[in-house]
Amino acid sequence: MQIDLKVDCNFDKTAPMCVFGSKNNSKAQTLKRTNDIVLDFDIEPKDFLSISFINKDDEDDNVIFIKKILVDGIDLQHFLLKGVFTPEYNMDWFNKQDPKPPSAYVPCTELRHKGVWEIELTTPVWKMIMEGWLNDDR
Amino acid sequence: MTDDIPKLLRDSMEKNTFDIDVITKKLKLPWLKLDVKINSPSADQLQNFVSNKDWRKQWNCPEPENDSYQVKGWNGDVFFGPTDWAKFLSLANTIKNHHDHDEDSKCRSLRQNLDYSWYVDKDHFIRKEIEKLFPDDKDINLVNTYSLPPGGYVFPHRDYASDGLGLAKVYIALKWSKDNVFGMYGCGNMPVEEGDVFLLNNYTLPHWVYNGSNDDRIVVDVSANLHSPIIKQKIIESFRKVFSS
Repeated sequence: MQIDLKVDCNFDKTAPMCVFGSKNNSKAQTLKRTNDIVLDFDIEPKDFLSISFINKDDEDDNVIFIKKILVDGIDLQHFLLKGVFTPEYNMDWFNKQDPKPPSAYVPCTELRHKGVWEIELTTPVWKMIMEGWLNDDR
Repeated sequence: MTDDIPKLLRDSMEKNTFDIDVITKKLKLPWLKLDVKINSPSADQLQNFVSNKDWRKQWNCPEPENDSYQVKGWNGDVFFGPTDWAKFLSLANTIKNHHDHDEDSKCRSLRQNLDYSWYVDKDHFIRKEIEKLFPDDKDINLVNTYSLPPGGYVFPHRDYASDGLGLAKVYIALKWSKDNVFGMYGCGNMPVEEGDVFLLNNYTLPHWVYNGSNDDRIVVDVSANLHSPIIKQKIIESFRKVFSS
């Protein structure tokens, strides 16, 4: 199943490196400032898509912005905001913080720490989107 | 009835009348076809209902992103509503979570706070047809058209209301050629034919529309007090016909 990601990055010297993953697949990639990434992943009926930011450079303050994700040609739209980012904080930085930052961020489309962003995927994707609306009792 | 039936059961059997609020608010039916006939507009009248106004600007909707593909060709025009539009929009923006609420909901919410009236004269086709169902203007919150050109669509979405209604929108298929679709998740397509009048629940399920025909699709939407006598009777009759004895 094709997954299309539009990802922007801020960096000066250290281009962000990512590992894109699902249950059965992973692909590492060094990112540019703007990126149109195409993944061909074998997505199971209950699966996930993850983006692991593996080379956060605190001096360079490189950042990844997740702009858009299409799965099987379907734009996840605002359901993208269900993605959870679990940071692996730089402990020197973490220990100086008061109050302490959260263990996870949701919604989150800006990866400003080393860590893993993950969103659940179920197929068929159109039905996943519909169920999202159905259960959205805002 | 025999006297030995418990009072609760006897009362329930004898006094169980149709309750418009149960039918429209509690059941969450996706739609109910109403036994209502609307006159057919002339070709000239129909052409006037293809709005050249910008619906999103009129309702002060946020500008969509350039690559947004959620709506194509969707437009509409208001025929009955708040007389002071600027004041209405200003007040509507103060309603909690107002961005989530559809146009009907906003007009319902502010009906008691502002003056509402027709924007067209007494002889206008839409006004004459709607006044047959709602003779008292006080019962009407909003009358508008929605037009959709050939190939136009509205992406799957769900509408929300401040009052959490179910069946609420009177939906009149003024111009509806074959190959138009109104899909409702889990329920198939609404069985619409030109001239049909439905009561529609756009608040419970995701839904979408697509005009696969070669003609404009034109719908009249009415948000109103469903306790208004004529429409109330029409709803009860239509419900009884489908669901009851």
